Amino acid sequence: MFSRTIANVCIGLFLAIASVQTASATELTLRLTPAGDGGRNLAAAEVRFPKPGRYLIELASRGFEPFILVYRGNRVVRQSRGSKGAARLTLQIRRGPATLTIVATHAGKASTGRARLRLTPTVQARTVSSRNRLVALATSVQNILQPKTAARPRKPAPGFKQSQAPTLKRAAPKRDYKAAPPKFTPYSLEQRREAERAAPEPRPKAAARRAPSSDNGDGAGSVPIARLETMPPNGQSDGPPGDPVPAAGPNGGGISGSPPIDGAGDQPLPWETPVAGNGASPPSPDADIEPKRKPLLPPFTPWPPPRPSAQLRIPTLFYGALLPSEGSTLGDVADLIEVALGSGGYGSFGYFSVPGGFALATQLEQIEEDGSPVAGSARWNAAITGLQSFDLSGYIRRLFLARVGYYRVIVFILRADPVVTSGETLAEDPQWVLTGASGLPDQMRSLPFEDRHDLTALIYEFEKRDADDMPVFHDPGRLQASDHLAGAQFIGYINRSQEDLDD
Amino acid sequence: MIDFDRAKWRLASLWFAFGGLILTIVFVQTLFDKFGARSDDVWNWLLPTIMPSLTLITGVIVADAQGGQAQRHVRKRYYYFALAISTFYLTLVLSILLLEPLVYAMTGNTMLDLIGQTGVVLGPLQGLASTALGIFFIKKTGDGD
Repeated sequence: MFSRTIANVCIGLFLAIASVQTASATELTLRLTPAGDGGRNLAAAEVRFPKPGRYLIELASRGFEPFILVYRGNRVVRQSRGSKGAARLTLQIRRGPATLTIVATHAGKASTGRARLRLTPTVQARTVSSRNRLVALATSVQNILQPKTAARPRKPAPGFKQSQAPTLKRAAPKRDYKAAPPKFTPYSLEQRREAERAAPEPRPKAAARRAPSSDNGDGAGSVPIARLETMPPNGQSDGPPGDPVPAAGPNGGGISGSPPIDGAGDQPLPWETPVAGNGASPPSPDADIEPKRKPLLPPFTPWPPPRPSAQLRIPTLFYGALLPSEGSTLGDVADLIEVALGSGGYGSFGYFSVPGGFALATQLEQIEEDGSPVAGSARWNAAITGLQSFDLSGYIRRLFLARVGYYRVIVFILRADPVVTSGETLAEDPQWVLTGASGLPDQMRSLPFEDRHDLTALIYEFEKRDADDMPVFHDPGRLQASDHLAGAQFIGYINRSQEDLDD
Repeated sequence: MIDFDRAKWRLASLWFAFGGLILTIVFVQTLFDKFGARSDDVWNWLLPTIMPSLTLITGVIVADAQGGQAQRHVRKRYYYFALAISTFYLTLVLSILLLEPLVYAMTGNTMLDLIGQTGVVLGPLQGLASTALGIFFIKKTGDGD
């Protein structure tokens, strides 16, 4: 009797254990090997993801701190966080089949240990044995994990990883997602204009600035608009090689854009100021020969802008009445956008130069499903909001359904030509607001706003599930751009201001 | 002493009620894709958490159904100990599932975080519950064993 019971128990246990092991996954054992001089020890696997969907990539090792990088061709599209014993990341494949290279390496000290790569659900995978390929990957990984720049990378917000800029040209300010944004008190355009009129040194009149001048050396000279419009992407001149190129900030995009290009040319650009020497230090002997140029407005990178989740061209008719009737400038439009966004609680903006105009980016914010911002400080927090207050339906929804956080970045682009976006999509938060300038330089503010200028709003929307590591870009977005702009109070502010004017 | 069959069915009812509820909740959560690509992790935690004891109880019930029905008894202390430790253990497992939305709202810890954090407590408790069940089933008297 008792032995029969024990037998039944054993059978039951076997079935239970067998049911645990039915999860479908692909596993590979990789051995890290040194590849190339100065390269990093690594192993790689070429993986074919058969269909769109979410894939979990896990790398476990007892001998070292594992680290995963995912390459599409020679471009890093994803990387894991450093962790002890195991690294993991979730990959969203939007169009399948897709073939990617998964690189397993060590985050800490060098190791030639073994690691187990597990891919869920099942995919086709094989280890990369090509020496040349491994050497190229090792060099790339080494550059990524040990950047040569002295600038210390920022700590990204939880779940939002720092983009892999090959170099960092300047240190960006620290960003604290959990902190509430600086309080922004909206004020009217009239108040701002009155303040400018009362300033002891008013800016030169717009009409005077429109007159072409060859003297840019004082930094306040006029800027022919034609010069501005011929600025190619990333601030490069379309002139001969060696034309001035403003030093680019960190690569703002989650997709790998062109690396920042250094250059020094003959003519300063409108938003460049020649600076000789560095602050209080004595000028270098070469300072008077070829002065360094300090970029006043970083170029928007990547350019053309990545494909947004939604976009909207905002006709001048919609907001033109709120600009000064005569002599409107780009600065007036920037002020209007800032004030309108400020009424929606936005406190910081990133300004960039684009060919023929400027771009203004908002910081990443968490939004509700309808496009309205999440209440409270959670709006600026990357962590998905939980139950705000207890109610049964909300509790049941949270119990059974995945928590989903929606995030967005709005980019306004004002330029003389329509915006044509690229086919690339963002992989992560580009953190434009950190890499952009805090405002427009005077040289650009004073440029006349003309009928041919187009204001376009690009909405980049992300979705993050709490079980996943990384947010996923929405392409296309769930909402119309107008819904986003209404949720951001931009449209509401313009409408209210129009009504006030009509009254 | 207490009647073994009656005590056995009470324990079985407890385990199947709690176990069924827990499995149903996680099954529905999996259907609605609550855990995304990590649903395997949750099942890998849940099945070893409750299945061994459920299997043990099922095995005993099936074996008893095939054997004779002689009157058997077991000491009350074994029954109450098994009942108490089982109730406590199953309540803890169920509370991990039910409290997760509230815990997340307050601490930001997800289900997977909770699984990792409570493993230290649940492991020994599961061992204790299994031992109590084993003693309960072995220490019965009156069936000729």
